[in-house]
Amino acid sequence: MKSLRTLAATAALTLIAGAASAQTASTSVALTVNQAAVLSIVPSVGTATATNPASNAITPFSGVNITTTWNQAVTATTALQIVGYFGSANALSGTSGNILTSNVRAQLNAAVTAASPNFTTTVAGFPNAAELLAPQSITATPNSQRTDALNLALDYSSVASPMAGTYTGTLNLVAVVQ
Amino acid sequence: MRSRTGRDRLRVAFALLAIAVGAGRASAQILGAPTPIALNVNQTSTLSVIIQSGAVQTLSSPSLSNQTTNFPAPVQILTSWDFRPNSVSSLSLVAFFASPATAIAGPSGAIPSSRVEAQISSSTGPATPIPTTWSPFTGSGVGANGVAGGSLTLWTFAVTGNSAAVRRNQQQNRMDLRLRLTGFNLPTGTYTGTLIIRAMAL
Repeated sequence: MKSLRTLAATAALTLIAGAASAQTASTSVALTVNQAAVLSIVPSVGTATATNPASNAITPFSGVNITTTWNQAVTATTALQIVGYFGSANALSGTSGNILTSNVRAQLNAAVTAASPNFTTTVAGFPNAAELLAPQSITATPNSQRTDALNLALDYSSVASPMAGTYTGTLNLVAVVQ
Repeated sequence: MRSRTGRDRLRVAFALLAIAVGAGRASAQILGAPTPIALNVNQTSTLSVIIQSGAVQTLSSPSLSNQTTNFPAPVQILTSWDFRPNSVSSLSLVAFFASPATAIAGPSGAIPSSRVEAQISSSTGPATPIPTTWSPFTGSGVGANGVAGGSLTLWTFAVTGNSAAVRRNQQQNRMDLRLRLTGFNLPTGTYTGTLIIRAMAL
């Protein structure tokens, strides 16, 4: 009887051992995540309008907020810059004539004054441009965003107001990382 | 000795490579996609008439009846306009009294507009003045501009085409006024009236 118990126990152990080592299978899944670099500007509205700009005055366009988002590989000197530019020296045009880029000024997060930049320089390779945000280090914030109030205005401080009519144009905004 | 020279060369090579890589990063520029913002400027039409001088005219004389008396100073009128393209086709300047029968009224009666006359004695601008000789305020004006029987049309101007000179311009006129009371006895008293000068674009 004792030897039977021993045999049974032995058999049980054998079965357990057999089950543990009998069937194993494995495979693997390769996981790759590519986080593409991000660099974009999104305006709060698509159109800004100025009504009845007067002579010898600075007339603001309606307000625009811009949100700049970036996710970049950085070094110790990586900086973010925001540039606005027009396609030609005529910022806006209409049946009554043109409005020059020299008469359009911009300022981030403050009211436009006569000292605000107009769109007459070349910035980051873009002519008819203005530097809206001077290079800001993003070394410590490689993946982030910022929202700024973009104030635009027509400056007729020293020129006659345009003739009655409707004038249209397109201001391009571009974020630059360097 | 040879191996030292080789290590040095290797160090120099790595140093140059590091400089080259660093220079490349410093000059690299990443541009986001351009984001457009549409800009609109709306400049509405304007039309104004101002009296540069002669807005107040006073005649003080014991002998106004039965004669013609000029008011003391000419009225200098400046009309300015700036119209949006294809928004108007004609412009008129009309002087009129709101109540022709009582153009200049006082305690003892009134002087009708037919007794007040005007002429344009000087004109600068694109429009041709109409009353170049003394004319009474007995017309009807132009369309809704003026009052029937108490108006004098000073000029009309056709706004045709979209040229800047047509759509945006100004006209300066000197208007002389006089009171023609021939055959009219004016009782003693103070008489006052208002001559309205109105530009209208249609």
